[in-house]
Amino acid sequence: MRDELAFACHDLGKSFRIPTAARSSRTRLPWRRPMHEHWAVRHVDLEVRRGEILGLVGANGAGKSTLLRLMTRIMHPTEGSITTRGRVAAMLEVGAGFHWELTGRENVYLGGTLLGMRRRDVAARLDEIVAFAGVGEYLDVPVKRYSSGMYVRLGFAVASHLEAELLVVDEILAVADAAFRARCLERLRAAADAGTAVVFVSHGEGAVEALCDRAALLEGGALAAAGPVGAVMARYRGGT
Amino acid sequence: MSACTRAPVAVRHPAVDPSDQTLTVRATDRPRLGDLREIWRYRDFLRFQARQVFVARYRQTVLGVGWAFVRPIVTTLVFTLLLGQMAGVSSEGVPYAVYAFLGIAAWQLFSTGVSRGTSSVVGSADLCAQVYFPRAVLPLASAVVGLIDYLIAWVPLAVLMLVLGQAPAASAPLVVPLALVTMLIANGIGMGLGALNVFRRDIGFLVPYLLQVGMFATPALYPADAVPERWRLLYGLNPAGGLVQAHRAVVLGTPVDTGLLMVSLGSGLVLALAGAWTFARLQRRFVDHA
Repeated sequence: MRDELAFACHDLGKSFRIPTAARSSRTRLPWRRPMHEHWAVRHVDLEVRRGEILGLVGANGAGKSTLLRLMTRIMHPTEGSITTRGRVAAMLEVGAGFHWELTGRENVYLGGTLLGMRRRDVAARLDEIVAFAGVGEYLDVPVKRYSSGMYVRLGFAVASHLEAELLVVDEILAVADAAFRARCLERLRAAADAGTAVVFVSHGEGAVEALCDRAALLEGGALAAAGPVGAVMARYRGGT
Repeated sequence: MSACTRAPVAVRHPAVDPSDQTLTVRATDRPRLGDLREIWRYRDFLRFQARQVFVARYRQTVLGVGWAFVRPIVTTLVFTLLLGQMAGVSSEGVPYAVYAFLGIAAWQLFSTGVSRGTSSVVGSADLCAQVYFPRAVLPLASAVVGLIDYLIAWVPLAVLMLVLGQAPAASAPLVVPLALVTMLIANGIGMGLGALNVFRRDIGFLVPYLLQVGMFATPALYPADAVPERWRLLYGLNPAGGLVQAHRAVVLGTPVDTGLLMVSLGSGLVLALAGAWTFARLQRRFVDHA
């Protein structure tokens, strides 16, 4: 992989075996259900440079989430290959990887160790994370007692402050209020300026234009367009 | 390009990091358990996960971790009255309570690794779907919890031995390797069952019954030589059998049934490797299937 790249995939494909329609026949045994193959993503070639923010757009079911899960190694590809550089941080759902029963502080450590970081490296960033999330006095309260706003703030703060070379953020900011959204976008830009590659999924009109350097459009599991934000977004809006 | 100006937030991402290595995942990669070095890198996560599994049991209880003491004590008390006093089961000249306690502690080290390992992947399905980490950490954390329970059980056990005047034999330090081997075998078996349980949840229902039978097919509460000689080989195929027997024997200085131990080690090794192989084959499809 070339030096300026943080992520590259080649001819990437992922298929799932899903049960075919209803089990009409009574003779079918429960462990012999008829299955068929569904390609969620196929023939995708994509590169993300260091310090770049790539906006990923597409209709529901276009394969965005599957592509993100392949990028982050959560899923194994059915076809093709993926190359990443350094640590990959994922924020696919609000507070991904949080344990309800653990306190905010413990969850910060959990999030860091889930990235393969050592405790002391997380400790060095704790204050910064807490300040960003603004959960100060709730730091030692189990996160199940958090409001959904606090939960998303802490989740985003953890994912975006850890040492990652590639940061993948799914549509999660919809839950945040306007003020925090703005800070999140700023934070992503800051991370990118420091050299982290960011892949950002959003349906929110405007967020991609405001933040991203480049955009990619997925249609039916295939890459329909990739390039300047304006052109890709025009095609996306035209297509839907 | 960007409407945002440079953020006022301090940034600590070094673009060039020691972990700046490229990693390529190909669809055609052969299945493998995972890089041992990678699991080592995730050791702090392993610690967290083990603590989580351990602490979750005692959350919102009054007694808290005290339950870890209560479990083996009550089990021993019941069986001491039932088998030691009423049925008069032989305990090779050792106070029956000590005899049974040692057997139960060793058996639970094995059974905890297997039973918690079986539910480990299913229990963390959400986590698996949201973050990458070496999946083998999950059953491993279960086995570590079994080891922690075992270490805790030594506290009441030591008190009991002191009260009943049962001194440990000179060979007692050999429990350390025996306990570790037991844990690793339980971990391998738990891995296999845990992987299969993702696809066929029947496994999760089946394992508790197997373990219940397994406890009585293990010389935990009675001496191994209560089993007729001609059945001994079959009996040893239970991997816990020889290990539990040897475990107790080295502490008390009673004779170790070497033949039984060898058969159990052999079958344990085969089962553990089969479990690890099963896990390696299936782990890529854990998330697809959920």
